[in-house]
Amino acid sequence: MSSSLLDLDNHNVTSTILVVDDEAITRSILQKVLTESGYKVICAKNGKHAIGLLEEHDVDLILMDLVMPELDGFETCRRIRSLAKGRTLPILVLTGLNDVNAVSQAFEAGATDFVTKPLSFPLISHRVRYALRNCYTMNALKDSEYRLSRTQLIAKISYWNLDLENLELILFTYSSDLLEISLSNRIPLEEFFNFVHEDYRETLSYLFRDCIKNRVGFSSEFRTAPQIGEKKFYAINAECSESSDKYSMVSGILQDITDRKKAEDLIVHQTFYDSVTDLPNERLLKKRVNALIRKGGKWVAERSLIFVRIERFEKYTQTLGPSGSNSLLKILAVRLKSDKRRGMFVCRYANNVFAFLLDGLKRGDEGKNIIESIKDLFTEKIEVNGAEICLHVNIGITHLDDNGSDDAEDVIKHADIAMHNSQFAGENQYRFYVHTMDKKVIETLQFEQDLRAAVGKNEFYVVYQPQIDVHTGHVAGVEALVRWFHPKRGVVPPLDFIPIAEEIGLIVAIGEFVLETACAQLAQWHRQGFSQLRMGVNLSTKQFQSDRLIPCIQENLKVNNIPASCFDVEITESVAINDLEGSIALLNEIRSHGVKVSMDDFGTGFSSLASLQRLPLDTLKIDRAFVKDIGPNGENGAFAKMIAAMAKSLGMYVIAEGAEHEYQKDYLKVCNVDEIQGYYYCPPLTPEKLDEYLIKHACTQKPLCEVE
Amino acid sequence: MEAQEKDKINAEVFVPSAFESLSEFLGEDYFEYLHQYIDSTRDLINEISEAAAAGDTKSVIEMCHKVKGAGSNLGISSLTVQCQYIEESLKKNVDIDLNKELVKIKELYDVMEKEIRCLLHS
Repeated sequence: MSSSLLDLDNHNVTSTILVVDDEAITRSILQKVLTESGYKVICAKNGKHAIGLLEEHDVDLILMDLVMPELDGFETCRRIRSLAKGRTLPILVLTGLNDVNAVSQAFEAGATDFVTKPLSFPLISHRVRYALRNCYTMNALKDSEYRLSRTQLIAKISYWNLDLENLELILFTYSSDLLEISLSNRIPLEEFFNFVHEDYRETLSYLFRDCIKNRVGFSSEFRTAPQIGEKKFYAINAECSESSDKYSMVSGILQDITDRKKAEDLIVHQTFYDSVTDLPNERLLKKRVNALIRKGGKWVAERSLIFVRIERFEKYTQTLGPSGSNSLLKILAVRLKSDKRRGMFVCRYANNVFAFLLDGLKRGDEGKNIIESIKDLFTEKIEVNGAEICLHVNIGITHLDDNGSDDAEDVIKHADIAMHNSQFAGENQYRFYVHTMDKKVIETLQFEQDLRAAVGKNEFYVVYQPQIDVHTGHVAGVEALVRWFHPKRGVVPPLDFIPIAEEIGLIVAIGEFVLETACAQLAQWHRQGFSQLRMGVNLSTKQFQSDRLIPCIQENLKVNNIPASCFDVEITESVAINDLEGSIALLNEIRSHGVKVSMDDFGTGFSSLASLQRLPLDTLKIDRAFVKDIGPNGENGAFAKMIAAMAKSLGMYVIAEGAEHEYQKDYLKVCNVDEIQGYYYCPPLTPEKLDEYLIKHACTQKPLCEVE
Repeated sequence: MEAQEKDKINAEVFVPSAFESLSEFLGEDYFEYLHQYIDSTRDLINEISEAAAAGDTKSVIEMCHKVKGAGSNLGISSLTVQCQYIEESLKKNVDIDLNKELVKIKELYDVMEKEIRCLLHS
């Protein structure tokens, strides 16, 4: 306080005083006295003159006589107050000692204070100093109040007191504006609660009662009642003080936190809801299940958790692209949300897994019907981007009161296990969880875990199956085939692990391992003199779509010094027709580097002949399905013959897979097939064993030096 | 101002306490202001008489107020009281013998002038 007053006192050094009096001697004396006290003094002989001077100078205080010719002190006062720079200027009027009427009129006209005549000159500078100090204090207070009100406005915060005698809430500043309700400054507390949403009213009422009775503060939040208008949230804090002032004993702040609440709601929504479908997610499901388990009793009785997995969802993502598969999910979500079953809660638990919490699902026909109707929600046709899609699902069910566990994780795990088990029964099947399922699913999970670990442990290896030129009987090429040697299971067939590797995202790594190994091996054989030998490597969908494919092929060919014409990439129909135009472009690029392209397993997919015709292919491989059943007299050979004829007519080289008997070989030869791959000639062999085979059956083996 | 001089102050002319305070606070300037006062007041009294003769009551009031205002601030007693009496009476339309009151003003002025000139020469 003292320092601020000191600052204010220092103002008199530069303060300018305007003396207005028609009487020259009084003006002179005032000028002399105030100048000697350190003020800058300017004088006016009447009101008009004073207003003129005020416009020219920055005046800090006016000392003015009231009775003057032309423009008297009252009117001058009024005019000064109407000027921007005169609005807050302190005006001391000079008036007769007992002229109460004049004083009153002067205040009405805007005077700040009065000084009685005859003037006490020794005291006048003190009066001026006091008035200036008052004015500066007032201005500082106004500034402070302005800053405070701006701060409150920006922070949307207001102050309140509680009148404990009358139980009335006294709202300060702009609480009413803040609340956007028409409130007087004082309202009975009970009336205030009418503005509070009923969900919060009881709590807030209790907090106030407790605060009043026991003198304990509180912090709470409330929402405005619906009739108030826009949904708003407020934080309210109360503190109790020891003050004897009945208004200050309970006071607090009120803050509009609607924006914060909205942000919080958004965060909560993003935390507990799936961004694509806007359905609840895994976290919310766990919360719900936990809450139900905690409540126990009827809350878990007859309540079931159902997991539904869309099978081969990856295929839809590949075919439709990310936006198309999102559209599929959104359409599905709308369908699921529109199904109003009693107590049903539906969520997107994982990428391709949806979960339902349902009341009253029993084993038997009734339960079966409900499950069937849930299944139908998925399997009924969905139209996305003009394509009609029928989803296939597997369903697992567990009853909440049938888990022997009070942990949501266990309940969810059981539904998951039941769902995994249902896949063993085929598509669109469902299974209720039983404890014996655990073992099988755990084995599956262990298998996945082992597969992941196998990459790092070098448990994969490559075997090669020769492709024999039917005319010469010599080995023309080999196909690289991956194998997994599991430390406990032994050799795992590709069909057992390739689909899982695709599902868990390991297929590209495995594919690149095969590519590298096969190229290195081919280089080895070329160095051994089998310089015409060709190597075929299978590409998975993901590997085919990978940006790294072409650089990877180029690098391996270059590093191993392999002619591109000796390298053959084998793709299946499903890989190629996912994105026909993209595939055509990519295959053209691959061929532009000299690498050959084969269509593997032809005939088993669903590519149209028109598509086949458009694909830039060098070789067509007839799937073993059309070969293995060919009889000694050519029975069941029509398809193989037709495919070979068609491929030939398109100018393609033809390799038949799966020949196991001589008569099959003979038949295929008649069909004009170029090469045959099959057990009749040779099974897939390790490189060491194939070395021996090559020595016996290769068309040429030139000395190493001639090759290089 | 010496103590002896203060003792001689004519209480008809000055309010003694005001005279004492002003002469101490303003020093020599006080006497200069008194000198200015007798000069300006002489003119004003003449103007008051002229206005009174012309029946211009408003001017009489204004000029009486002026004589009173400056005088009271300088510690002048009887003259300011007389001016205030006339001002108030005319404002309130009290029936007074203005000529007689103006004569009294002149007499009071003469006494005041004499007293001030004495002070200035002492």
